[in-house]
Amino acid sequence: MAESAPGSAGPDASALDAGLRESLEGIFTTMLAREVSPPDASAGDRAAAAARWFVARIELHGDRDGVVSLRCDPGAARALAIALLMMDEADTLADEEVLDAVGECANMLAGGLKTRVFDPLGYWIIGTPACAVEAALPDSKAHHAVDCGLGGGLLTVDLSWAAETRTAAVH
Amino acid sequence: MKKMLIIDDSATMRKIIMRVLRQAEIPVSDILEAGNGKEGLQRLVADPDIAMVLSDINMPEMNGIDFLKAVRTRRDKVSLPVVMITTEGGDAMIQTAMDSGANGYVTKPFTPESIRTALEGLIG
Repeated sequence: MAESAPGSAGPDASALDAGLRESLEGIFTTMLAREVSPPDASAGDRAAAAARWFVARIELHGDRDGVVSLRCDPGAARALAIALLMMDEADTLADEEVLDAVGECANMLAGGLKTRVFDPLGYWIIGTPACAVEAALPDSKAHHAVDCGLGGGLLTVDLSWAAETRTAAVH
Repeated sequence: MKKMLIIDDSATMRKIIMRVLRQAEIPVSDILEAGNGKEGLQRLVADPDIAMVLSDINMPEMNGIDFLKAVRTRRDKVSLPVVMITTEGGDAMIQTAMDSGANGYVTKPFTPESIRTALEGLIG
């Protein structure tokens, strides 16, 4: 692919927060036919008790290095897969299929963020999704995050920069 | 009715595209799949009845731009319709794809209507 000069110092925090939310909203309204909504009151408790998390991470490289992550508890992950694949609630889905759906959602999320926020600033690249079912929700040191409810569960998206301690979050 | 090849490293996205093609009533007799550009090229060489390709860009092994360039070097595939379906919505990438010989470009996430519009006139 064509190479160009490295990007600028990077987007500001408000642009990143807005870009993350808008990318997620674009996926929800276009592919899932629903709005992004806050998690319900008990989603946090269920999420804390969840033994497994479906996680997809995509690296972002430019003037800075970062990771875009999408994490879903089992309820949200299954709801996401069912909606993306236009299946019925009663349909059976293997973990592998659910994880692939989460990965593709993360792919669209990272791509949307890159198009909206990073491409106007210069040369940035995104990787392909790295997906895994993890035993527990890791302590997130994310600098920009959005939490939403889906299928009675919790879905979180965030962007973390390498070697950075400042945090900002949007709920 | 013609054959179509979908190239994307996500099985989920290949299934979504297939459903959308059915919803959009795109006239294809058979839909083939490949998980990356290298596999897609192998499929294309092996099956002369493939009349159109929908391809992602960011894929392992061989990305969609390199796949497209490889297709356009083949005399028998110079005019094969290839539409890119990708998360890369920036002007630079779109221009790269069109300069490399893409016939159309759809950005993910997409609606059935955007797929139909991109394929209009490309498949008989």
